[in-house]
Amino acid sequence: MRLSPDQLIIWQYGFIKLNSTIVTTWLLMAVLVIISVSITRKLNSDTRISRQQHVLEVIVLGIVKQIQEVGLNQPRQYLAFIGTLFIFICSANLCSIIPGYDAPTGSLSTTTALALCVFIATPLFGIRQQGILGYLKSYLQPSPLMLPLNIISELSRTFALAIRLFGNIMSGTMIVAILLTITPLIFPIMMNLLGLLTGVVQAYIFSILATVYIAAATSRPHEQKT
Amino acid sequence: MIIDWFTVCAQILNFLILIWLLNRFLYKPILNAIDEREYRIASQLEEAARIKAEAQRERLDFEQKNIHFEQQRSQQFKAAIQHAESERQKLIEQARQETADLKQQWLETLSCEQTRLNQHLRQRIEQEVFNIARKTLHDLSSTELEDQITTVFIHHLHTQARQLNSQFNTINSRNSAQAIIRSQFTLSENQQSAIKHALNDITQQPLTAQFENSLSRSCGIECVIGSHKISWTLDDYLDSMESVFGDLMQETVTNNTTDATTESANTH
Repeated sequence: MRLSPDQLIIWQYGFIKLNSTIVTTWLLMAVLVIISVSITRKLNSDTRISRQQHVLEVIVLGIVKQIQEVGLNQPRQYLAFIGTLFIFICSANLCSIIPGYDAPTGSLSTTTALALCVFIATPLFGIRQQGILGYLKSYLQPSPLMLPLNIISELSRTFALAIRLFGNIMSGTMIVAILLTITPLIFPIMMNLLGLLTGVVQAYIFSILATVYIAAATSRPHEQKT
Repeated sequence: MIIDWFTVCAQILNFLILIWLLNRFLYKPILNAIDEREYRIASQLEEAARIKAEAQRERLDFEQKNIHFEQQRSQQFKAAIQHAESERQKLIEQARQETADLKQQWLETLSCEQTRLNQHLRQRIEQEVFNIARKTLHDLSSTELEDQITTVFIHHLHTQARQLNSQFNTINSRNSAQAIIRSQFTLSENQQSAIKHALNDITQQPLTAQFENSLSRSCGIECVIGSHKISWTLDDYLDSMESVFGDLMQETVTNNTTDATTESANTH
């Protein structure tokens, strides 16, 4: 049994290889871009808009609202990063309803990549917002003695992000596979539906945690106290 | 180790590309459309507010104009009422004047008509009385009316003989005396001779008598000597009767005029 879609290698040349994770990601990217282009090509700024545009506007504005509610005052600056995280993870998880589909988020490599992106993006946003010294000072808060703990916290939460998403998605896939061998009729369907819910929730959790990390990195120390 | 670092790097690259693609084809167009719509709605709301303010201002302006128009209309209405009242008074006065003129004209016409009617009536009555008297006298006493009138006239001449004499004396001192005897009917030879004889007896002087059948106004005989005139006619009787008729007609006209005036006042 494959624990990760990385193990399904389609093409390999030296250390360069195309596995199922990369190919599925490309397909997802293509689908997302095609859908986006097909809808935004006929955008209308009038008060009467199409249903597709309405759905996209609801999704985008919902993400913006969530970012703002977490505490980022200029949510549009972070929309591309956080919104892409949510849309990619959510679509990758929801597509698991398709037979034969291996969710890229079921790969620890993908979740690690996403967690690393959050791990890199958080200090970048923090430095852009309050400067490098201001950001580095945040590691000394509330006391310089907390510096090691703050660094460990940064690493551990990144590791937790990756493991949490990977574990949930991989476990869901594994449970469905096991149930298919035990009770092939009703239970796999129920677990698949549960997996869809879990996938959406995990996408939301991953995105909201990334937002919280960025918000913590971009907020001033006195703002954090309040 | 289930982490494939090449895949990690590839997925990081894929994720960055996906960020760029979605930002290029999804977020920016959607946010731009939303911003444009919000701007358009804000512009429309601002335009609506401007139009509303302008409408409010025009409404106030219209109300002020309406008030001014109402005041002007009221003033013009009052002026029209006053003008109509003065015109009414003027027309009433003119109507009164015309009524008075018509009344005066009517009264004059009535008076003329009354005079003409009186004359006509007088002539008819005189004629009828003359005819009745002649016939009655002829039937009762086989006497002609003309003879009786002549007799009465001669008696009348004798009654006024003194005045007639003095008049003759005054005339004779200047010219020869001439008497003009006028009658409505033609005097016969005997009647003329009797009158002439009576005049000669009264005056004791030769007298030239000229008989004329030119007395057309009333029945009777008159004698003119110089500026003196002696006559016997039915005029006195007819004048009395005319006076009675005149009083009666005047009373009738007065009653009719009073009734007409009362009716006119009730109509107003």
